[in-house]
Amino acid sequence: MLRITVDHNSKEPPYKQIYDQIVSQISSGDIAMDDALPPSRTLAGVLDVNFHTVNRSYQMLRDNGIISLTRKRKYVVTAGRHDERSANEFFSREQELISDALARGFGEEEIIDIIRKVLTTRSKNRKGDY
Amino acid sequence: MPGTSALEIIEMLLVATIGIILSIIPYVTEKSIIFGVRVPVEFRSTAQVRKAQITYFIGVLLVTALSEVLVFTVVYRYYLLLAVYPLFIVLLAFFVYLPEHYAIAKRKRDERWVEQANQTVTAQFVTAGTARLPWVYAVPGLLVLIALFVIGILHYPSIPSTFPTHFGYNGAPNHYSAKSIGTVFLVGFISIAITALMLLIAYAVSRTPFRVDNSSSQSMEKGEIFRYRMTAMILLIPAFINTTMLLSSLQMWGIFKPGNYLILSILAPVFAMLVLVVVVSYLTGQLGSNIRKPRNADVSGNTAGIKEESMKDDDIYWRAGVVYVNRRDQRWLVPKRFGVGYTLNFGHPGTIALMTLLFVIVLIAIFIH
Repeated sequence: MLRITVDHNSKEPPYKQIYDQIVSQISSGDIAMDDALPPSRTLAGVLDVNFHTVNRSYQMLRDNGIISLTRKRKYVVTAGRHDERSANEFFSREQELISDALARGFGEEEIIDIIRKVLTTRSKNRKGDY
Repeated sequence: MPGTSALEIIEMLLVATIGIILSIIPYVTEKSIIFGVRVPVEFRSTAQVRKAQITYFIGVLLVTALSEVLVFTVVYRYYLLLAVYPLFIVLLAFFVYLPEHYAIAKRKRDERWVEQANQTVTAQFVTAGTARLPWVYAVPGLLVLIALFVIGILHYPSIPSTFPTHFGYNGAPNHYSAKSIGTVFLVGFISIAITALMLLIAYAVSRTPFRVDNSSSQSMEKGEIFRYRMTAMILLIPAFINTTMLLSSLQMWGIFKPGNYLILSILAPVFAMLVLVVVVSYLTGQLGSNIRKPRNADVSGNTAGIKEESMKDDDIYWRAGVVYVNRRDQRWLVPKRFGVGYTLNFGHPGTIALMTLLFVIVLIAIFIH
């Protein structure tokens, strides 16, 4: 189940909101690996946003190796490229976050606990029962 | 009433059923849709809404009562009118709806409701993982269909070389056909076509994404329940229709003896179906708006905490609040505004083609008959 909310009053631009929500739902398992995202025109039509907005989100997802375009022209959630380049990017983003936390006085153990907490509070993939 | 034919009774029941269904529509729409107009949360004063709902309700019931009188006095004389009369009721109800619609649309414009409202849009899609069709609901219909053919095949030798294939309104046969696979199983073949069509529609309905009503709490969960129930109901429809077809075939094959009110019992499954559809629609509400506590309420960080907010205004896509026209939207089917269920996107090029095709098919059917 894919659920996207675009808030036009938010400071975040729509393409970023869409990107963040797709990422979040993939990580929580609401969208499974190898699931296809809707075509950008379809998503744009239902969300009532510009087609280019959705394209921008999808492009960003592709650039970051989260989805890829198959030969059948579908956007599919892939295992992701955790190649060296994306590992380096992840490393530097983590460095920033952790430096910030350390500067605020968080201890190393506290930081590791928080990371564990983030990983375990992702929602499980629910099968609906009605 | 002397000489009340079965057909008159059916027509009256039909008109009454349709009239009641139409009259309660305002009570089953999304909470943010008032007579086909998207109304932001801040402006839904309960008194105004209730007044409009009751006015429409009474108006439609009056129109229905008037139509019933006409059934007795005028309509039943003209066989052809009986077929289109229900559509006439729908049209009359539409004319009761229109003034309410324009009144609210005008207030919305004059008082500038949109500028002051929030602007969010939430879309809900079905991904491959959740797109399993609940096939179990299609089983009864398929069983009845199989029964029809099994009985027909077993009974085939006993059918006389000419047998009645059409019955007048008093139950007596008025047309006979020569026995052949085509004539004996014509009703069965029609059943197959209808069943296939329903399966196709159920598939399309289950896959079509929709915007949820942000101004309703837990709108995503309710939307999902709505989608499931609509799909299940459509899959169940062949169970009722095929039963009617089965009974009709049994009558043709001489297994049911003809009688004056036989036609009522043959159509009983169809009425049962109407009752089911109405009850489920009312309890569910469009996009689940009448569901109190969705049992599948999710507590994940994603959907929890979504405030009840007004939606981005989408009135421009809805002509008179009932016809959806949006060329940029790739969907064929979208949830209705005024009613429970789905309607076609008339801005989609395929829809015009489909309408033309249906029109041609109906013409052919009338021509054959």
